[in-house]
Amino acid sequence: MSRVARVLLAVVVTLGGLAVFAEPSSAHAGLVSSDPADGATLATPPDQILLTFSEPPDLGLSAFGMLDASGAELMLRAPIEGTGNREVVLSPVEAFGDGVYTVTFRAVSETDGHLTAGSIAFGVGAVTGAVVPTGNAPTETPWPSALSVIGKALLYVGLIMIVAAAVVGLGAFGGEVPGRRVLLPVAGAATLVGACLMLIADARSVGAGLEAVARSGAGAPFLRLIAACAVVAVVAAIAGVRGTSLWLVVAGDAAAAAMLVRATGGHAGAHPLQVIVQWVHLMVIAIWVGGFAVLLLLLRARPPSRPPVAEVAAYSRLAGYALLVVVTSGMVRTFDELDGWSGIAKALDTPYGTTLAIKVGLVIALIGLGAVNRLRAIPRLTDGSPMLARVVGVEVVTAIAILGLTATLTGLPPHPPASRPSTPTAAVLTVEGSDFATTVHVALDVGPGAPGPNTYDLRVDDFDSGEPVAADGVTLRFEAIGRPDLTSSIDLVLGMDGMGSMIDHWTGEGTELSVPGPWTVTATITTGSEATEVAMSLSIEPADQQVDVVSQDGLPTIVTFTSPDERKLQYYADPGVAGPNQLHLTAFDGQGQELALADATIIATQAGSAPQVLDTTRFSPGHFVANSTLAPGRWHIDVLATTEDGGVLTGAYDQTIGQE
Amino acid sequence: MRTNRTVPAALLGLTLLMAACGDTAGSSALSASTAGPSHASMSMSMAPGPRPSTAATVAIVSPKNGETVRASAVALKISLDGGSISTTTSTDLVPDEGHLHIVLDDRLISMTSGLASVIPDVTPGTHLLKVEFVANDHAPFDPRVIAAVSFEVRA
Repeated sequence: MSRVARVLLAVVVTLGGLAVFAEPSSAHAGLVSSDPADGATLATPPDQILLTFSEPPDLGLSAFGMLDASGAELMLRAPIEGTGNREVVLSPVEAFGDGVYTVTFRAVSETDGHLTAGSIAFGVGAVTGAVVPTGNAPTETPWPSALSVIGKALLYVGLIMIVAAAVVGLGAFGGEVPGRRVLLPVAGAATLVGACLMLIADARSVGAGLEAVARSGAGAPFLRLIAACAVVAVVAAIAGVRGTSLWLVVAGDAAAAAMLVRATGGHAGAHPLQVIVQWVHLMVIAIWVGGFAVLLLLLRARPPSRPPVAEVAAYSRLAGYALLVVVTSGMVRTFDELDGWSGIAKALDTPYGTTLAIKVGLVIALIGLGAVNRLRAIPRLTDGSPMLARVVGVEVVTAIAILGLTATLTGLPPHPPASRPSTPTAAVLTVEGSDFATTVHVALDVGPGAPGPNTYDLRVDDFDSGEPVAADGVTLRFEAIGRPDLTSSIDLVLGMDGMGSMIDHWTGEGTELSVPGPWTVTATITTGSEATEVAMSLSIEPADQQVDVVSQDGLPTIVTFTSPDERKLQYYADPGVAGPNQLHLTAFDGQGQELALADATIIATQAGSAPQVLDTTRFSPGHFVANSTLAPGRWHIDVLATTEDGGVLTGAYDQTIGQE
Repeated sequence: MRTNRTVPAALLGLTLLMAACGDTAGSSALSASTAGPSHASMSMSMAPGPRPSTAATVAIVSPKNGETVRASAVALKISLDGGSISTTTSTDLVPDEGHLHIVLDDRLISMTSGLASVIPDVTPGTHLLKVEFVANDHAPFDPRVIAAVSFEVRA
C-alpha cells in the first residue's frame, strides 16, 4: 500500500469513527423543549416560560412573544438567560388566567447566526392539547435570502479556488497556475466580499442593524470570518503577483485557515469534532472541485501540441483520493446534521432534505463525468483531443451549481422546528340531532373539530318539512363528558353570505372545545317565548398522537396512545367480546416507567347511543380498571388521564366488540 | 492502472451513498402508518408487536375447584412456577416476570404480588375465580397464563 493510500485509509477510518461516536451537532437554535411543554395544561398560570434551544440564542437579536387565544399579545419582560446559555426565561408582565396561550420565538443562534422561528402552545385551567397558534408570528424558518446565498457562494468559490491553486498547482502541476495574476486576487476579493455580504444578509434576516449584529454574540463568527478573509485577500493578491511556491503555500494556508473559521461558525460549530470533519470536507472539495477550474485553465493555456498529460494524470490521481474523502466526510456531516438514518428519512420532506438530495444527485453526476474523463477523455489527450477540456468545462458548471446548493444548505435548518405545534387539518366535524318532541332537526358543523379554537355553523330545520326554522336565537352549551369542570356556552349569530345578506345558518367561533374527548353539545333554539333543546354528542380527537395497536389471537387488543412528549396511555378491554369486560388503562412516562395519575376516566360510546362514563378503580399509581359490560357492536372509546403534575393524556379508539 | 484505482474509489463512494439511501428507506417503511382514525394529524399503526411469552405456570391452590367455603372471607392461595413476582410497572417487559390479576366473576378485584391473600365480602352463591400472571405492563403474556376455579360460598 502506498503512503498516500495509507494516509487516505487513515482519514476515511477516522471519519467513519466520527460518524459512529460523534454526538450530533444541532445546527440553528432549534427549540429542544419548553416548560410548560407544548400542548400541556397547567392548573394555574406559570410564573415564567422556559424555552430550551439546541444552540445558545442571542437574546439581543432574538424575539419572543406571547398571545392569548384571541390573538391578543401579552406583554413580556425582557428575556433572560436561564441556568444554561441555551435556556431563555420569559416572564409575562401581568397575570393571566385560564385559556390557551401561544408563545412565539424568532431565535438567532449565537453559534452560526441563523434564524429559527416557531411557537409552542399551552393551556391554563380548562384547556389542553395541541392548540392551533393564532398569532401572526411566523412559525416557519425562512429560506435563506438571495444575498445570503450569493455571499456564501462567493466565499466558498474564492476559498476553494485559492486552496485548489495552491494544492493542485503545487501538487500536480509543478507550481504552474495559469492566470494566477487574475485568479488569485479575484478569488481573494470574492472571499472578503462574500463574508461581508453574509453579515449584511444575517442582519437583514433578523431585522436588526448591522452594528447591532456585529456587536452581538451572533455577529462574532461573522466578524472572525471577515477578518480571516481580509488576510486571505491580501495574501492571495501578493501570491498572484509574486507567483512563487512560497506565496502559493501561504495563500493556501490562509484560505485553509479561513475555511476552519467558517466551519466553526456554521452548522458544525456546536461540536469540535464536527468542525474538523466539516473543515476536511471543505478542503477536499477544494482539491477535487476547485481542481477542475485550475485544470481547465491549464488545458486552455497549453497548445494542442503540448498537452499536459503528466499534470492531468497527477491531478486525476489526486482527485480520486479527494473524492473518496469528500464522500466519506459528506456522509458523516449528513449523518450528524440529520441525527442518523431516521433523521434522514424525516428530512426528505424538508427544504433541507430536498436541497441535499439535489446536491447529492449533482455530485453523482460529477462522479460520472470524472469516470468519463478517466476512461475516455484522458487517454485521448495525447492525440490532442479537446474532449477533456469540454468535459472539465461541464464539470466546472456542475460544481458551481453544487456550490450554490451548498450555500443554500448552510442557511437552512436540517430539522423542522422541534416543537412547532401542528395545525389540525381535520375536515369539519358534523353532528346532527333533534329534540325529544321531534319538532326540529339541527346539523352542527365544527371546524376543524380539533382541540382549541373552532368555528361553529348550525342549521335549524323543521323536523317534518325540512324547511329552515326562523329562530330568534341559538345558544350552544358545551359539556366535557367525564370532566364536569369543563362547561361553557356561546351565543351564535345569524351568518352572512358573500353579499352580506343574512342566511339561515347560525355561526360562532370560540375555544369551548378545549380538550380532546367526548363532549355533549346542547343547542337551545329560542323562538318567541319557546325554547327547544337538542342534545348532540361529538368526540374531539387528540392531535399529533401516535396510536399503536397490537392484535394477537387469544389476547385482547392492546392500544397504546403516545403523546408528542412520549408519554403513553395503554388501553385494552379484556376479553374484548360482548359481556363483562375489564377495561385497563395504564400510564407510562417517556422512559416507559409507570406514570402516577391523579385521575383516569374511560368513556365508552356505542354507535347511536349516549356516551357512558365508566367507573374506574385504581389498582396502582398509574393503572386504572373499569369493570363494565359491553354490548356487541361498534364502540368509540375515549380515555382521559390527569397526571399528578397536572398534565392531561388522552386517547380515542374505535373498537368492535364481537359476540361472545 | 491509475484508472483502475480511481474508478473503484468512486464506486466505493457511490456504494456508501446508496447504502445510506437504502437504510433510510427501510426505516421509513418501518415507521409507516397504515390506517388512521378520523383525525388527520393522528397516526395509527397495526404493529404486530408480539407479546412476550413466559414459561411460568399458575395454579389456584385454594379454594379448590368445586369447593364449598363457609365464610364470606375466602382464603386465596396461589402457586406460581417458573415466574417471579415484580412490583414494577414498566413497558420494559421481562419474560417470566410480572404480577397477578385476581378476577372474581369477571370483575378485576385486585392485583397482588403475594401468593396468599383473602378475598373479603364474597356473597353466598357460586363464583368463578380466575388468577392470571401478567407482564409488567399489566397486559397478558402470549399465551395467557391463567388459572380458574369455581367455588361456592355458603353463609
